[in-house]
Amino acid sequence: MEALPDKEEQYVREQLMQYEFPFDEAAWEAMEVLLVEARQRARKRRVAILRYAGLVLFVISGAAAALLVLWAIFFKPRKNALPKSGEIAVVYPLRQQVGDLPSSRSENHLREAGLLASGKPSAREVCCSTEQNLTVSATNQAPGFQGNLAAVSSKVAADFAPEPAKEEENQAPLEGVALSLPLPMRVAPSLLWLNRDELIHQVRPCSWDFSPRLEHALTLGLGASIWQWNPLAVSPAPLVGYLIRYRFSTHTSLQAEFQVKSSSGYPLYVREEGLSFGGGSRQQGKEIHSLLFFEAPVCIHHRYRTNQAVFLGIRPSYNILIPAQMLQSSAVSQNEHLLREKINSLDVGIGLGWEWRMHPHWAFDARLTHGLLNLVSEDFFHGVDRLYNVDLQLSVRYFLTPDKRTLISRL
Amino acid sequence: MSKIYHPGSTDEKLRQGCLRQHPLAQKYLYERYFGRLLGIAMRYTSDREEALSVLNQAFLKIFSNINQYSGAGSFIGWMAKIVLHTAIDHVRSQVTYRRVMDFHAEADNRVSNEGLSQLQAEDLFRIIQQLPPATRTVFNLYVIDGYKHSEIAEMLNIDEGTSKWHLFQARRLLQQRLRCLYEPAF
Repeated sequence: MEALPDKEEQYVREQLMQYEFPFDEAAWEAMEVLLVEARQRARKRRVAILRYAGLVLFVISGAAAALLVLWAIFFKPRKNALPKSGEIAVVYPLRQQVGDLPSSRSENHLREAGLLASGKPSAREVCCSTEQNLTVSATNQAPGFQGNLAAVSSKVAADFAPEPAKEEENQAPLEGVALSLPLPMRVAPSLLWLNRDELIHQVRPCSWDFSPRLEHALTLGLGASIWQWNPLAVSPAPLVGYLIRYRFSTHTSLQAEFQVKSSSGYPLYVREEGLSFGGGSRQQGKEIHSLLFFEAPVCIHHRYRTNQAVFLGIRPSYNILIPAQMLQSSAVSQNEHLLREKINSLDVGIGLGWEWRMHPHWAFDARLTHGLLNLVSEDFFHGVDRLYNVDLQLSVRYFLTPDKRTLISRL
Repeated sequence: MSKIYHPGSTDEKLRQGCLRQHPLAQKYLYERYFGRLLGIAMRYTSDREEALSVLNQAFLKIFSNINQYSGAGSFIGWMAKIVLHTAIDHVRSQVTYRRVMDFHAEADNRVSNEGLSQLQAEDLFRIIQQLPPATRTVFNLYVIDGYKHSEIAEMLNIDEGTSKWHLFQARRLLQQRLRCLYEPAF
């Protein structure tokens, strides 16, 4: 320990450091009481921990057993089960043009009507490119095709389609065109006589192989940092970040982000005080400061539509104050010093947002997050203002892994 | 190692006994270091009762975490650090920095500690205990325990400038007290 320049203070230090108080028996008796209480508390804690552990194990094992029973009853896959209506059961291999469906029931109907003698109905091409782009398109009618297709289609639709009214709305040239698909794709009969829009509406890939399990994205955004509600005061808060998302069920993912956000406009108290021994001067006011937030939101992401999702989660952050007027502190002489409100370096908030996946690689999201802790940590000044890290944020994300499922909504 | 403890047992032996939660080892360790550690608690509190409460809380931590003493540094230094941190926690739980500020007090700012060296330890304890809690804490940490303003700021979660202000305030208040002590009674 360094010696103090002031001899008087050095004397105080030595005197106080060397002084020893006489032992007090009453103090030890009070200590004994504390020790006994501590032992009892520790024993109670051990018992409580054992009880809670037992309870948790019981609940977990009960829930696991219940899930197992439910799975066995409702979700256990059955052999030779047909896909539900309107679902394509198998994803295509690499680029493959679909041929005609051999001996389908729809063709039999067409044959009975004598329409296949001179030609075949036009076929739709259902293909997947090497990037697994699923596209559905209609080709022109085959040459030589003749006959009153609309009449035949009405007849066949009466046999298959549960909603005959829809068939009447079909319009040329796609109206009543038979959909010919090769194996291994299986199509429910009701799909065969739908027009393009209805087909797209009803065709849903049952496999989520179109969406990657793990996604990485880069984020660029602009937030409006709200540091005062009444009257509303906002300042811009640009941000950059990185996102990682893991899809653990069909619609739901866990996403974690790391983003750096800079926001100006936080008013903090500052006070300059002269320490000159003849009577000091002081000035007090507010300075506008910038804050740098290192945020790591962790959210549950739920995709309620093919290209739209909502997310909700918590946002821990590490905050750094960037003093607005660094020059001011350097201008303070030795006989003065600057008091500045200190901020909490750690904060946690909650956030709610909406995401629109507009492209396999690109997404847009909007979110509102609200910090839960007061950013001002020091109660030195009389200020009663409470500052929170609140912002409305719009950002664009670039996903490194494309999400082909987004394309389906664009067909 | 013998499990018989007496007041003259070595620190290491008493420490081993405390690890086994032996009541006699705990008592002898408490008795041995009571005087010096109470001095630390007294500096950070405003009276003896409060200091004893802080000291016992600190000893409770010492006894329950004695296995964490790695042997690096002196045992008394390790215990002193626990007492110091317990005292600071106690001060932090009670002090509102706002309460101790007097923005309008413009007393004579000329500070001189002349006269302190004429006081005995008991008087020094008394005069320091009369300081406001936050100011007393900063004074103790800076002058007695030798911490720097940056370290004090971190420990008390205040700005470095605030720490300097409290030190200045402590010196000014001590000067006022000393003047009261030495002024001839009329």
